[in-house]
Amino acid sequence: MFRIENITAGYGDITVLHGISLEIQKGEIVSLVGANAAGKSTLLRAISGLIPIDEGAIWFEDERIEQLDIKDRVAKGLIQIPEGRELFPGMSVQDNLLMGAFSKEHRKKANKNMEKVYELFPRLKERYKQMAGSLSGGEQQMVAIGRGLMSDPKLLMLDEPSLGLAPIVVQQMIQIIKKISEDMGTTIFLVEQNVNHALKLAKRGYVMENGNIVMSGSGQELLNNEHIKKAYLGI
Amino acid sequence: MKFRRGKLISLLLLICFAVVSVAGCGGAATEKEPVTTGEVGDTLRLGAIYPLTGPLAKLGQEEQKGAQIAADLRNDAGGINGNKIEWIFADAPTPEAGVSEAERLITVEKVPVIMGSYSSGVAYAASAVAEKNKVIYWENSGVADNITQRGFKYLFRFGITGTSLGETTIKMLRDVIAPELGKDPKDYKIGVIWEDSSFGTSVGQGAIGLAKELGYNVVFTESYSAKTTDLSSLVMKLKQNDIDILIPTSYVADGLLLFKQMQELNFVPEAVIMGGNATQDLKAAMGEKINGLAHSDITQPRTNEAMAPGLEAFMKEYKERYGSEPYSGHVIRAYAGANVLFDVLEKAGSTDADKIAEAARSLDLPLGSTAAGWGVKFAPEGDPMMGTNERAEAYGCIWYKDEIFTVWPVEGQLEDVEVLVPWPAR
Amino acid sequence: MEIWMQILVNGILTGGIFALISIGLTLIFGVMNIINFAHGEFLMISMYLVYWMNVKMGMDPYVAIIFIIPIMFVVGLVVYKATLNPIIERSELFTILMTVALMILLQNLALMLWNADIRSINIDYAASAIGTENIRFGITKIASFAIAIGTAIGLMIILSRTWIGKSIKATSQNRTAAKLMGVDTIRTYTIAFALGIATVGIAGAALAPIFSIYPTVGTQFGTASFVVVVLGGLGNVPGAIIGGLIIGLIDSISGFLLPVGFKEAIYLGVFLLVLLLKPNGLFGQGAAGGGR
Repeated sequence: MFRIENITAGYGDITVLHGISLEIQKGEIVSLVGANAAGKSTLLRAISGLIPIDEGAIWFEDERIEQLDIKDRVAKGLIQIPEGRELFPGMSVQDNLLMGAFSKEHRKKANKNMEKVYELFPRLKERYKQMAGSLSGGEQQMVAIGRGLMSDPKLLMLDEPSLGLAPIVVQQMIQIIKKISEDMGTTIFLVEQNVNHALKLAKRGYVMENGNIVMSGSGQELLNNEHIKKAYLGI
Repeated sequence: MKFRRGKLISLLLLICFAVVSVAGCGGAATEKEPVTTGEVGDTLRLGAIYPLTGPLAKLGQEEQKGAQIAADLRNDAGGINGNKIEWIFADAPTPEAGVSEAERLITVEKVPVIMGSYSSGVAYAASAVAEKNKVIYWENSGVADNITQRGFKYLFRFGITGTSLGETTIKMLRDVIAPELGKDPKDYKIGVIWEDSSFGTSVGQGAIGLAKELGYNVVFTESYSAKTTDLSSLVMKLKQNDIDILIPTSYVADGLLLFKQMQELNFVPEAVIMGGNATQDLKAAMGEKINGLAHSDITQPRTNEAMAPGLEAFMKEYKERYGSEPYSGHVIRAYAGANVLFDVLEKAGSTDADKIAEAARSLDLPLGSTAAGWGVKFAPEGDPMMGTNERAEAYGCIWYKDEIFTVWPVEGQLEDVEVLVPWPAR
Repeated sequence: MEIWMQILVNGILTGGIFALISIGLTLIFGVMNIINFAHGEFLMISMYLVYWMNVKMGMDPYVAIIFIIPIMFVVGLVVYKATLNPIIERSELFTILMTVALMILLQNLALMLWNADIRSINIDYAASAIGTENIRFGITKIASFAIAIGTAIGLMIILSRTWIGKSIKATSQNRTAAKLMGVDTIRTYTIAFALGIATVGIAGAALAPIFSIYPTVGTQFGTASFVVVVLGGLGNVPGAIIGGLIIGLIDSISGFLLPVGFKEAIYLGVFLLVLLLKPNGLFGQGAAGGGR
């Protein structure tokens, strides 16, 4: 349901992505792993439309979308939970969630989906009026994920969700992601530096180095790969 | 693509703004004539600087009208020593423009005389250029005292000073207002306030000076910024001091604000004598509430001909040309001043600056000699106010039946004017 | 004693005027980081429009508010689209230059179209007041105060209860995240700016019965409103109300205790103090503040 072909993109004169191709099937969890500055976030920005691509195509549900505005891609259900949470710090938890359903297409479902998010994250329901900027790191991540779910996303992309979180919180988050995939059937594209967790969760994975896809396979295959073990798992 | 179009629109708008600003500020109002020497020949070319565009344009244009009418009527009567008078007008909305236009008139148009200027700021600046170049500067209107406090040899101010405006408010009190109210002026608590530019300050200080000399009771004085957004604190102080006679010197906008807030806050002096500002703008804003408001100002249209010979003829000419009454006394002053200048040039018989200056200083005309009612005698060399017309005095006037009438000096009164004090609308 | 009561009343009522003028400025400042030097000029334009509506159609200025709101909203839309949107991604210096250019353009435009005559709206109750002999409340000032509160409340409701209001807040707090939510940030900025201008339009209508109208009348109000906005916190709408009241009181009290010529020096001094000690304003940046 999602496919990118030969994406080349960058910032100004600097090309960061050198012809990236990958695909995601409906209902899958697909992970993209790689070191810091490998180009993973840049890829997500290109897919969302925050930066333009120089070459290549993006297919979403049998439609080419690389010429569309960000807001049109969002309206179609292509949702990104950005790196570092990126909440609206001066707005309440509730308002942050509501913004997740901002597109006109998604507004009708806003209240229904908010209830679902509160079921998933009871702690947010308690704090629904609190300013998002005053929450703990883990709580903020919950808001970020909850916000992403508000529009019934067709493809949910998470950029480094475990970054900066305590290990125990990371564990909770892994469970949540699993739940979202299994119970809600949401297709997930997970981008992570934490290779271990990302590949354990994923059905399939891709490895990115210096703006190129260097390896792909099932999550388990990649975990057992010698190069991966040495370079990323320190084994 | 979108970005480039936006850039283009921004560029166009910036160009528009530049054009409009330049248009608003005004360039030269005349074409460049071939270079002549302005000699006494067939045509006598004289320079005149006024703000013809910009915020001061209204009154600058009025003075221009006065100058033109004077030239036309004099030309009909044979000109100056048989030479036709031709004005070279220049637009100076700001003192800086006054400087550059004066330079242009002197070096390019080669005029022997520059007349002006409505604005004290323009007068002060432009006259310095003329003095440096030994060109006569004939100032009819700027009232700031400091214009003629520089010992300039070639500068002559036909019109009144700010001090005179201030002093006449006290004379109005003494000779018109207090008698009408039936009290001794020394019994009143006087408050003098003024806007803090050189205009307001000259007038305010002039009023205080004469009041103290006459032993009157000046209880409260204060200056304020004409740009202020609120005068309620000032009104409260006036109230607190129980002021009966208020002498404010303001421009139109702050004057209106003052009156509104006086009414709002229930501050009711017996009489208000304004320094200057007897204009139609004020009347338009206040309607019939203006009746009873007194001013010390320059000669108004409704002044007795006996005191101001030529005034009636001038008023007739103005009405014929422009279909309405003059907006204020400014045009009369410019007209009268231009005529004195013409007389001086006739007497000098030359365009040499020293000869013109000598002729000017030789004049000794009593009060009631000009259409502005003033006489002419310029303070001589060595006097600290050298170049000031000692026979020019501010007149007192009052609003009555929605028009402004001269009431002081008594000789200037045109008809029986009812002095409405205490001011009914306050 | 009564004199001091009146001085306090004057301060609060004048403060209402300062507050009303500043609401639009703080919104634009807070949402888009645009220091709108032409703020006073939009006030001036609105005052002229109300004046013409009064003169040509006999409309009472307070009634004119109903029409001024949509008119000035559209003016804001057009001006933003034409002049500021193309350069908003550039540095703040550019936007400042642009608003300064706008200020000069609008002043000269007004001068060209309507000349420098001092205009005044003549309505009977312009100088009326209620109250006792020594403690008076000017009617036009009470009206301005009420309008200030009403406008602030209305704006706050829009910001917190409507989708467009939420998108304005969101865009000002985190533009990238807002884009990822599907917000059209260009449209949001345009509407926020237009809202700010519409608010200044309301101020113009409320002020028209009180002040004379001429092309440069906006300048003096512009200065005071900058002080109010910094005092109240950028983007903080209720802060602008309180800031306005504080400045009004300072204005009234210092004007009485000192020669009135020093008033401006006093509240500019306050301005400097706030910038030094509490640059985010007494009440912090508002919901619509912290544009990133």
